[in-house]
Amino acid sequence: MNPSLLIALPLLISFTIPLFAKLHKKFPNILVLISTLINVLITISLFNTVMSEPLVVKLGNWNIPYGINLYVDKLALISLIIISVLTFLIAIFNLRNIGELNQSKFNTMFLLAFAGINGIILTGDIFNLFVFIEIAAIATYVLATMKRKDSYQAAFKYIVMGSIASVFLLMAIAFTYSSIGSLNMAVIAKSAGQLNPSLLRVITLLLLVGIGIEAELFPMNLWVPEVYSKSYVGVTALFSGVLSVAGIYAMLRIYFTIFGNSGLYIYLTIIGAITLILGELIAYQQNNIKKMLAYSSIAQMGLVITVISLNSVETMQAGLFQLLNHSILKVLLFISAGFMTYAVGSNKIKDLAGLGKKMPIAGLGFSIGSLGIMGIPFLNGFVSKMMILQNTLGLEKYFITGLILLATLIEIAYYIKVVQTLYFKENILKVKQLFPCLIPVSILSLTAFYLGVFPQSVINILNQVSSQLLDNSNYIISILGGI
Amino acid sequence: MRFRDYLSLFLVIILGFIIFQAFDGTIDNGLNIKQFGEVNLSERTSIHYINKDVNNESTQIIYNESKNPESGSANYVTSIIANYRALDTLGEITVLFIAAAGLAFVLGDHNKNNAFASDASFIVKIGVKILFPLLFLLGIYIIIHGHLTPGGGFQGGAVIATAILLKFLAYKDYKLNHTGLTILESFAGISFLIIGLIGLYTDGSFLTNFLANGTIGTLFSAGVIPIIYILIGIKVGAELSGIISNLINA
Amino acid sequence: MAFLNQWAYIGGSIILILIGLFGVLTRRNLIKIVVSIGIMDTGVNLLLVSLGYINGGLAPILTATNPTNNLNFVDPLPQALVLTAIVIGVAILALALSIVIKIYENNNTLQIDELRGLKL
Repeated sequence: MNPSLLIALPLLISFTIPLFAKLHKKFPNILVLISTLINVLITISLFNTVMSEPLVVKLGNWNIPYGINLYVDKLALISLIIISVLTFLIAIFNLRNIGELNQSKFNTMFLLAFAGINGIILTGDIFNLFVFIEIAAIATYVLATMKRKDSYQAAFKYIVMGSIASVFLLMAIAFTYSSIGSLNMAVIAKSAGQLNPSLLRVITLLLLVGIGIEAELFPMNLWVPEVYSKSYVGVTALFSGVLSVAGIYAMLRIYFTIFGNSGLYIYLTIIGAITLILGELIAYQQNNIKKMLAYSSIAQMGLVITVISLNSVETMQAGLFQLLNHSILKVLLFISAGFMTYAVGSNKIKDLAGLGKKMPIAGLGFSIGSLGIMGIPFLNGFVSKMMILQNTLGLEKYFITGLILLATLIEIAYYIKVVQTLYFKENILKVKQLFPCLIPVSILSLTAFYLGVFPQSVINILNQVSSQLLDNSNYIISILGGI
Repeated sequence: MRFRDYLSLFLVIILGFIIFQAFDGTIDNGLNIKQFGEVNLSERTSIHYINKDVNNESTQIIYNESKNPESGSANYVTSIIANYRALDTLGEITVLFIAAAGLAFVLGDHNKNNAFASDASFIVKIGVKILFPLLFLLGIYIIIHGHLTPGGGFQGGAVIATAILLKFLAYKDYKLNHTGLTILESFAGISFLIIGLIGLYTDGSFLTNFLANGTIGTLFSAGVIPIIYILIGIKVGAELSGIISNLINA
Repeated sequence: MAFLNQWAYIGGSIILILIGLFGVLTRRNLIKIVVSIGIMDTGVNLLLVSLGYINGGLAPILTATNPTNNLNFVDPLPQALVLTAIVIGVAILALALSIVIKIYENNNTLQIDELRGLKL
C-alpha cells in the first residue's frame, strides 16, 4: 500500500461529501467514519515494512532531491497510528445528534483537517510542510467558528495569530532556500552544518514562531483557551489530541533532524518551562471545565517540549511517551466532559455535581482520564511521569525536576476537585438522556490501562526512535543514498 | 493605549535588528544568503528544471524542435507547478476549496438585499455587455495556453472571476446558481485526484505524467499538464465567483 | 546607488513585513488589522521572488526569440512558490473578512476595545 493514499483518499472523499449531502442526514458522518477507518487499516498494513527500514516514496517518479518525496520511519508510523485511531474514535463520538449543526460542512472540514495533519507527518520537503500546515490551519479556522455567536471572536484571534505564524514560516523558508539552494529536508540536513551561525540562529528563531502556534508554546498559545472553550467538544478533542501531536512532530523534524546540534535547545527549555508553570497556575483558578482542560493541555505541551529539549536519548523517549499518553487521555477527558456538559447544558464545574452516579460510563471515563494525567499507578500516565522524573534527576537538572513536581502537585489539586464534585456532591440540575457513549470511552480507557501495565513494547520502539532522532545521519542516508 | 503602542514599536524594531543580523555575510563563516542578483544557478536545484534532466541524460532543449523531453511545457514555472511539484498544487486547491466552503458556511447564504441600492447607469450596463464575453474569452485563453505563455489555471481563473464581478457591479439583482458552482468545484477536484490515482496505478507513484509529451511549443504537448490546468482554472473561477457572490449578498 | 540597488528589494520587503506586524499589534479597528495582514503577505511574497533574480536574466519561458536552454534564465522555483503563497494568503484574507462581517452583525461595533472576547 502506497503511503500517498493516506493523503489522497481523505481528500477524495471530502470533495465528494458536498455532492451527496442531501441524500440522508447521517451520510456525511458515515463517509468520515469509512475514510478514517481506511486510513487506520493502511497505516497498520505499513507496520511491518517500516519496522525493518524506513520507507521513501518518490512522488511522480522524479529523482530524489528534485521532486517531492514522502518519508515514513518509526516515529512517523507511531504518530500516524495514534492520529488515525484517535480521529476514528472522535468521528464515532460525532455521530450523536447535535441538532442545529450543518453536518455536511462540519464533516468536510473535519476530514480535510485530518488529511492536512497526515500530510504534515508524511512529507519530506519544507515548502510542502508549509502547505500542509496551512491546510490543517485553515480547516481548523472554519471548525472553530462552527458554534456561531461567541465563537467568532475566538476564531478571529486564532486567524490573526495563524497568519503571523505563516508569514514567519515563509521567511524562514526563503532564507533557507537562498543559502542552501534546495527545499528537500535531507539536503538541508546535510548542508546545515556549513551555514553561517548567525543565519542559523535567525532561521531557527523564525521557525520557532512559525511552528510554535500549532504546538501551543508560550507566546503563541493565547488563542488556545478561547477557541477550546467556545467550540464543539468534537472539535476541541481534535485540537488537543491530534493537532498538537502534529505540531510537536514538526518541531522534532526541524530541531532535531534538519538543524540538529545547533545549541539552541536552551531557548526551547525556557519556553517549555514558562508554558508549563503558567498553564498549571491558570488552570487551577478556572471554574469552566473546558477552559480548565484547555489550560491543562497547554501545560502538558510545555512539559513535553521541556523534557524533549534536554537532548538525551532517555529524556526524548520519556517525552515522546508522555505525548502519546497525553493524547489518549485528553481525548478521553474531552469526550467524557462533552457528554456530561451536554446532559446538563452548562459548562461550569459546580453544575456537574453528582453526574458520576447518573451517567456512570461518562463519569468513569472522566475519572480514569484524570487519574492518568495525575500519574496514578497502573495507568499510562504513571509510567511516563516516572520516566521523566528519573531521567531529569539523572541528568542533574534539579530546577527542572522541582518545577515538574510542583506542576504535578497543582494538577492533582484541580483534578481531584472535579472528581470530588462528580461523585460526592448532590445533583441539582435536570439531566437529559443520551444514547450511550460506550465505544470511544471504553477503547480509550482500556488502552490507558494496557499501556500502564505492559508499556515495554512501546518503550522499546520509542528507544529506537529517540536514538534515530538525535543522530540524523540515518535520515540523510536513507533518502540520499550514501554520502 | 500609548504605552502599548510604544511597546509594540520597540518589539518590532528589536525583531528587525534580529532579522537583519542574518545578512552579515562574511564569506569565511559558511553558506550565506546570496546578494541580490548574484545567484549562481548551478548551485541550486533549478538548473535541473531548466535543463529538463532530472531523470534522464541532458540533451539540448530547442523550442519547436525537441520531441518528447522529460517535461513538455515551454513555460518552466508551469512545469514546476504541475509536473515536478504537483503535490503543492493539490494542497493549494484544497486550501481554496476550504476557504470557499467555509465562507459559504459562515455567511450562510442569506440572499438579503444586495450591497447596492440600484442598478448602475446605462453606460456601465452597455459596457459590461460588451466586456463580459471578451474577458471570459481572455480568461479561457490564458488557462489553455498555460504551458506556452505566462499564465495558467490560477491566473485565468482570477480573470474569469473578475468578469463575473463586473456583472455584479452592473446589475443589482444578479444572482449565481450556488448548486451549479458546488457541482463544478467538486467535479474539478475529484478529477484532479483521479488523474493522480491513475498515475499511481499505471506508473507506480502518485501524480505521474502518464500521457505522451509531444514537441515543446505546440498546443497539444506536455502530456497531462494542460488537462490539470483546465481543471484548476474551472475550480478557481467557480470558487472565486462563489466567494464574491457570498460577500456581496451577505 | 549601489547600496540602493542591492538592498531595495530584500530590505524593502523585510521593512514591509515589519510595518504589517506593527499594524496588527497596534491598530484598534478590525478592518485595519486585516489590511495589515495583507501587507505582511505582500512583503513576504516580494522577499521570496527577489531571492531568485539573476542580473541580466530572462523570463523563464522558451519562446521563438529564446529558443534554447543555455541562455541566462532567472530562477523559476521561487516564482512557483510565490504562486502558491499568494493563493493561500487570499484564502486566509477572505475567511478573516467573513468573520469580521459576522462580528459586526452580532455586536454592531468594530473596535476591539468594546469586544470582550478579543482582549489580548
